[in-house]
Amino acid sequence: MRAPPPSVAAGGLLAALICGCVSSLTGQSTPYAAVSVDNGTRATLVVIGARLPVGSVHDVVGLEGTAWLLGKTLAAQANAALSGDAGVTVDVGRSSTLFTLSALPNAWGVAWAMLERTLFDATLDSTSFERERTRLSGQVLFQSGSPALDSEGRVVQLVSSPSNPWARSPRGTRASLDALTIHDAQLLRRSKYSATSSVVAAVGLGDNAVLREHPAQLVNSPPQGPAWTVGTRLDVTQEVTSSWISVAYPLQGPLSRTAMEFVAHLIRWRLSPLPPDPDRYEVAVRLVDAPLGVVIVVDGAVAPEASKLFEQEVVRVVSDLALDPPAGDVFTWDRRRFRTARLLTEATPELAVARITSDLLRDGKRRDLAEDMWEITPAAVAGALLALGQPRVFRLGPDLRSR
Amino acid sequence: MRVVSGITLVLLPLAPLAIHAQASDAAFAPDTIVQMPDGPRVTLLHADGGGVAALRLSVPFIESAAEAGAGRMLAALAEQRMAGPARQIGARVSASRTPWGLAYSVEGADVDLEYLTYLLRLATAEPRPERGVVDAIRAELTVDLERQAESPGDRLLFDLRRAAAPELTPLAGSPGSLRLLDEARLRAVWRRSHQSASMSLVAMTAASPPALLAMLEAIGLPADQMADSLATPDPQETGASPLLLRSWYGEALVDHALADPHAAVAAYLISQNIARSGTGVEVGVRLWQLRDRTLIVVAGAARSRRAAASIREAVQAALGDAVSSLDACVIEDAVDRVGREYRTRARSPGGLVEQVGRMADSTGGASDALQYLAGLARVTAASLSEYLDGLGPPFVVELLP
Repeated sequence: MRAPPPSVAAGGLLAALICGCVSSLTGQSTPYAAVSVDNGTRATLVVIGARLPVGSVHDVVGLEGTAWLLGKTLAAQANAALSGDAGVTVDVGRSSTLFTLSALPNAWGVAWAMLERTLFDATLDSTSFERERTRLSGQVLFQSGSPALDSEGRVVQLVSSPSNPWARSPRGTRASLDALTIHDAQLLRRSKYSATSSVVAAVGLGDNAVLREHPAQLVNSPPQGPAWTVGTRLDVTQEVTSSWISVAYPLQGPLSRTAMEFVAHLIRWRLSPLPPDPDRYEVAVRLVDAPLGVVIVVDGAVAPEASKLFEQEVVRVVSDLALDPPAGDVFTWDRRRFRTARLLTEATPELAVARITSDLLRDGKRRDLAEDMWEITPAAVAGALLALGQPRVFRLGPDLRSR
Repeated sequence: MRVVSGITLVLLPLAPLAIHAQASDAAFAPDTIVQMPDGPRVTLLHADGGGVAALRLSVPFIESAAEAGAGRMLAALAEQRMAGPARQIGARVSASRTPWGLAYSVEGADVDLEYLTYLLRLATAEPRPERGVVDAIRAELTVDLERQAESPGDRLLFDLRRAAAPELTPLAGSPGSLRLLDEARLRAVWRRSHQSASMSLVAMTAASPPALLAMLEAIGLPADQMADSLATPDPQETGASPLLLRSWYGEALVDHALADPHAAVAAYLISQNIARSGTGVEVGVRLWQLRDRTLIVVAGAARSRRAAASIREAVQAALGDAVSSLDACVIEDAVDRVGREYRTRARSPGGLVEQVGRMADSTGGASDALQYLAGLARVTAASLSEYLDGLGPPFVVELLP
C-alpha cells in the first residue's frame, strides 16, 4: 500500500487551520514588530517573507551551524505540511533568518497560517532535523578545501574581528555539526524565535486582503562605522587555477542606504568593461552589514596573471570616483542605470520581500526606493564616496613567482 | 476600429475570462489586442505602478534543412547589436530561438519605454556584422554541436527527437548547415522572416495603447520586400558518435498538441514515480516542446547491458504507474505544483510576457496562457487517464557500449 502523499497527510491539519485560525496578516493577533504589504502589479503568486533576528551570530561556540539547521528543519517541516499550492524556502544569514512563502493566490491564507504555526508553535521534528543534518554534513564535507569558500570565510574575518561571533561559519564545521543535537536547536528556537521581534513583508496579496501594515515602534540603530581605520593586506598562497581578490572599504555614517547602494553600483559599473575582460571570471560589489558598520566589498575571481592588475584597477576606480564624483550628464546616466537595476531586481517578488524585510529589521520601515532614488544628488553621492575609508585587501591564489 | 496616430487599427475581440481560472490569473489576461495594419499584432498587459516595462517580440519562421541553425545565428547577432545600447540604460535584453521562430525580449524602466522599443528595432534590423563575427558565432555553435554529439545523454535525446519527429529540422543545425551559413545566406533568411506583418508583440507597461503603438512603428520589413526560401540541398550530417561507458535507454511519448496541460501533469507524476521507486539507475523526465507537438521523454543510463533492462523496466514502470496510480488527491497536488511552477516562471514582468508570448507563439492565441491555466484546473484522474491512453506507443532508442 502506498504511503499517503503529503497533501493527504496534511489535509486534516489544514482543515483545522481553515476553521480555527486566521492569518496574522489578515487581522488577528500575532504582533509582529513591523509589517509591510504591497498588493503587487499583475502578481501571479503571493510571496510573503518573515525575517527573524536570529542567525549564526547566536550559535554557541562549538555548536556552529545550529541556526542554519534550525531554519532548514523548520522549512522542511513546513513544506511537508503544505500541499502543492505553496512552498517555503529559507535563507539563514549571520544576523537574521528569512523564511519566504510562495503560494497560489487562493491558498496563501492557509499556507501562511501553517508557516506561522510551524515557526512559532509546532514541535521540532527529529526526523527532519537528522535529515537536514546529514545533508548539511555532506555539503560541508564535499566543499571542504574549496578555494572560493575559503576565500569567503577569510573575507568575513577581514571585515570583522575573527573572534567576533558574527565571523563564525553559518553552516558550521564537521565537528560542530556532529556535536550539536536537536535540543540545542530547540534551545535557540525558544530563546530567539519570536513573532514580536520578527518582521513581515508581503507582495501580491491583491486588493481584497485585509491588512495591518505598520512600521516598527522600536528600532535598534545600526552601528555607523567605520568598521576600521587602518587598511591591511592578507595574501594566501594556494596552488589553484584562479585567484580570488576582495577589496573591502569601510563606510562612516550616517549615510542613506540607497546612496551607499548607488556607490556600490557605480564601482561595479566601472569595473565591467564591454566587451567583457576574459581574465575577469566574476566581479561582484556588495554592501556588508559588519558588526561595527557598513562595508563595501569588491570581490573578483580572475586569472592569476591578472590579479595584480585587477586589484590596482579596483583601487584606481574607487580613488577616481572619490576624487572626481559623477556630476552633470554622467551622474544622470549613472542614476538612470542604477534605478533600472533596482526596479528590475525588485520586480522579482522574493527579492523584493528580502529587501523590504531587511529594511524593516534595520530601520523599522521600508524604503520608498523610487522616492529615494530621485532624492540622490551628486552631492549626496560625493559625500558617500568621501566616507570610504582605507581598504583591506585579501588575495588567495597561486604563487606567481613560481610561474 | 479606432485610429491612433494616423494608423488604422483593428481591435481584436478578447476571449472571455475562463471561469475555472483563479481570479488572480487575470495577470495573464491581455487588456488590449491590436493588429497593426501591415505591422505586428500587439498584446498589451496593462500594469500601473510597478515601474518596469517588459516587451517580447516574436518572429515566426521555419528553417529548411540547409538553413538549420540560422535562427540561432541571427539571435546571437541580434544580442550583440542590442548589448551595448541596452547597457547604457541598464536594460536587460535577450534573443532566443524558439521552436516557432525567434523571440527578442527587452526589460527596463517604464520611463524608458521608447528606448526599449528602439532596442527592439535594433534587434530586428538587417544583420550587418563586422568581419569575423559570423565566423566566431558559427565556431561557437559548432563546438556546441560537437559537445552534444559527444555526450550520450544529448545523443539519446537527439535520436529520440529524430525518431518522434523526423520531418522537423533540428534548431541547432548540423555541422554541414552551419558551414553553409555565411553572411549573405543569413541576410536572405532574415529578409524572408522579419516582416512586420508576421510579428507579434506582448508588452507589459503602464503606457496607453496609442502611446505604445506609436513607438512601435518601423519595426521589421514591409511584406513586399520578402525573399524566397533557399533551395540548397540538405547537408545530411548527424555528427560524431559518443564513446559509451554505460547503457542508455529512452522512450518518447508524442502529444500532437502544444498546450495541453495534461502533458505537464503527466511528466510531473512520472518524475515522482521515478523518485519514489528508487530504481538505482539514473533516470530523468523531460517535457519537450517541438514546433507542432510535445514530447514526454523518459530516459536513463546504467552501467551494464543487464542494467539496461532495469532502465527499461524503470521507465516502463514509471509510465505504467503514472496511469495506474491516478488518485484524486495525487492529481490535485500535481495540478497545484504544475500551476505554481507556471506562475513562478511568470512572477516578474519579463517572465509574464515570456509565458504569454510563448504560449501565443505555440497556439496563435494571445489569451491562451489564461486558457492553459483554466485547462490545468480541469485536469482530473479520468481526463489524465484518457490523455495517456490516447498518446499511442512510445518511440524507443537504446545506445549500448
